[in-house]
Amino acid sequence: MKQSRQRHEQKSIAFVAMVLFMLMLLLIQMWLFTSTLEALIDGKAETVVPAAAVSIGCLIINTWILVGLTRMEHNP
Amino acid sequence: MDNRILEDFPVDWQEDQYISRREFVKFLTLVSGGMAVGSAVLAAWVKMPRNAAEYQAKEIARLDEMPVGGWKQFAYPGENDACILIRTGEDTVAAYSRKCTHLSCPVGWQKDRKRLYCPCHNGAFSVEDGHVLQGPPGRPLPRIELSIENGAIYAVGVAEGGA
Repeated sequence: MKQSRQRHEQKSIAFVAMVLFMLMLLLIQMWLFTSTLEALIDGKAETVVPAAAVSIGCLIINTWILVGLTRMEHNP
Repeated sequence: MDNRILEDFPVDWQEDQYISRREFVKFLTLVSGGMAVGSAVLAAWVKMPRNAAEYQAKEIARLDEMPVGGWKQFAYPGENDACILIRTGEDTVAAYSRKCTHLSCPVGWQKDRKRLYCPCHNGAFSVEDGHVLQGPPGRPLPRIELSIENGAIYAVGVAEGGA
């Protein structure tokens, strides 16, 4: 019983840590998007493609975390 | 009364919170997807091949009607695209879009300082090639390509500032 409770707490902490990491990636994506738009308005297009690549990379990591968390939920 | 409702309709609060966390993670992934799609669309838009714009030649002034240091406003290439023509010397003229590259205020000619000046945020551009001399503008003024034939000045194209 005690072990089960400890495991539940550990999973909760891991869950929150993963959510915080996802939030950080999302903030990076938002920053990339707004700074790319500002650069475009300023006539600079060099950063658009690298920013898109990084943003897609962040999406892949976020999706991977989502899948991992869903699996963690289904396998107590 | 409240207890009876809970007995009849028990709510597993822990499970309920757990589901909301999962929904939150799904929402984060969805927003992340939106950002990635937005960035990809921007990149595709930038890389999309475009046909170069074709401009018609348009007579905008006569050389003998402008004194050295004088200026004239004209519209090119569209009727609403305000531009400024400046006679910089006996045989030289220059023309630029009047739209400041910062926030689109109209720029004016300052003869004594030989520059184009935007009064909104103290931006200034060189009359030589339109490059930024001071202030917040990040890009040079688009230059209007000119041609002089038999004393008539024609606007023949728009060169995006590269100075």
